[in-house]
Amino acid sequence: MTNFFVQSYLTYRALFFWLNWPAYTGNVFLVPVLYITMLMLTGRFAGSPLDSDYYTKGMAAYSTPFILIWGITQCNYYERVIGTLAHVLGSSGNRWLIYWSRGTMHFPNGMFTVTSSLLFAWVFIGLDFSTTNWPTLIASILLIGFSCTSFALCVGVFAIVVRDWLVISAAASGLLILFTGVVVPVDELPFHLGYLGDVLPLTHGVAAFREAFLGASPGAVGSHLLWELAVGICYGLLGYLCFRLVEVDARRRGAYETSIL
Amino acid sequence: MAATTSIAVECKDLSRTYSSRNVVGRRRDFVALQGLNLEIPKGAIFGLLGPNGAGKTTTVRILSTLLTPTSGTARVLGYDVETQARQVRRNTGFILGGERGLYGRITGEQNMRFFAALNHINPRDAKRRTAQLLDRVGLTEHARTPVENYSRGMTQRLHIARGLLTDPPVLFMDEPTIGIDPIGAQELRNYVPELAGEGKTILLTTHYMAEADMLCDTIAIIDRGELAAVGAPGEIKRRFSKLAIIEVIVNRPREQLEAELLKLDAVERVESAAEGPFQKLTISVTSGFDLREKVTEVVGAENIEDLVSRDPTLEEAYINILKR
Ligand SMILES: Nc1ncnc2c1ncn2[C@@H]1O[C@H](COP(=O)(O)OP(=O)(O)O)[C@@H](O)[C@H]1O
Ligand SMILES: [Mg+2]
Repeated sequence: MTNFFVQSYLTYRALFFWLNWPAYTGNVFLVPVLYITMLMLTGRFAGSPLDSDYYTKGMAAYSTPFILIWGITQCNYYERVIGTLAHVLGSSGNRWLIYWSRGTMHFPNGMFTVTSSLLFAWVFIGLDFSTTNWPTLIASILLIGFSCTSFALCVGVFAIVVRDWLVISAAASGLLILFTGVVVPVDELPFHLGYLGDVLPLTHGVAAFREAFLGASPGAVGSHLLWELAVGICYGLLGYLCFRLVEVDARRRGAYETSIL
Repeated sequence: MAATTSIAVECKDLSRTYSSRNVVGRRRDFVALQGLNLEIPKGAIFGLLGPNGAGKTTTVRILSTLLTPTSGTARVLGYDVETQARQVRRNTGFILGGERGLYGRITGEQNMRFFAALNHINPRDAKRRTAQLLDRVGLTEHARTPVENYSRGMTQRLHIARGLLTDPPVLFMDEPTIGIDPIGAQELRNYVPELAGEGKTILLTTHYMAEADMLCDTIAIIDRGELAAVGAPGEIKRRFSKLAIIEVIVNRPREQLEAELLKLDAVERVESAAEGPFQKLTISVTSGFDLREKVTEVVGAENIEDLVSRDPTLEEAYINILKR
């Protein structure tokens, strides 16, 4: 177990290139604040029928997958490019642990960013916490963190394959912005696209998150919370499967060391 | 097959083809290894020598389970590299030349600790072993320096330390001295006999003849993915060079000597050079002929300070092999 944390910590220190003050504070604390402000204002002036709090809450919850997706994909990309991937996969290391260790240290970032976003919304926008059910809020935040870490690890495997993290991150976070109900309510999406939200992380988590502000108890949003958990588990397993397949394929094609697959 | 044989590494008809697709999706195949057969006894220092693109790295990558063969088999300590990759990985260390493959942002010590954790070495042993190995490769002072600030030679020494973390009985070293200055390269070479002395089997690839000659007890020369020659360095030199060399030191230099020697049968070339007050003649003779007596006759026994007949260099043999 100690080895799992040593691995998690060092792989994070070695590969996360936002680990310096300007990049870290910028991406973990400033970006969500900008998103929240931007959407709240455009929503208000574009005459949206939705309450401006709708955007504030949605974007605060969205800050978690943002940092997780962009963080984890960049680490995977970098590992491939600097050629350490060959040494990691050529070792007798346990693959299941290798896979999850790539997410461990990013999870706390996801928690910091949503906390600071909510703090910002409370202080500067006057987000109302008076009726909040805290256990529900905390449970939804933790579950979003889990499912989005799983999702980001899964998406991250493709950053190894295509040797790029920008396109992958942009596509994955774009999907979440559009189809999980953070900006556009899921049931207002055209052509049954709302169902897409059911197989993405965040959708049910953010539904529970919103309910928490209205005082819903964890039991009352239990189905949302369970769904979010299930989605997280599915992406965890799917991602691991993809990771193993990529490994087999890389050995077959000889793509461990070269920076092309 | 039993892991109890005296063979550490065995390749049978090992072939590897790389496929790539161009922009319009047409497939292009490139044969990097074709039907390679090798046997490396336990405890040997085995040199795989060949020009760039010969297939040396491909062989090492297959043996260290990073790449699967297209056909044929390879075994390390009796374990198949394809179907028993886990056991192979536990028993081998691989050291790839070049600057890639280490984490630049973290320190040398952290790199070691990471790979120790990856290889299930318990934290206390990891700490001890890291300190030991960094000391062994002379990096103790730089243990806490980020690897991106290391010189090329230091990076390569860290590669070696990392390769030794699990104390593997079999080591693969792919061009370990490439791109390193002569003194640094010599330092790296010193580790090879030392490690062999500990009973490790070492497969070393190189395209430096002198390096293979100096370090290895057996050399295989590969060219375009095929085995061209294999044997002890001396054996290869004798067998594959069509020449033998006689060197004579003459104490009373004479200009005509060169021409007179050339008249002898089987003499192919004579080079003359001044060596202080003496004259040094390097005579290339078709192998199979012993011309020492005739040379003595021509030069005059009383004029000869020293006469040796030696094998041609590995380089001379190598060039002969690759020309065919
Ligand atoms: N991943 C790859 N894809 C396509 N061709 C490759 C790949 N790796 C190596 N090659 C080709 O295979 C040949 C043998 O390469 P290699 O084993 O690296 O030779 P060496 O190490 O002896 O210089 C070279 O011509 C090289 O261009
Ligand atoms: Mg090579």
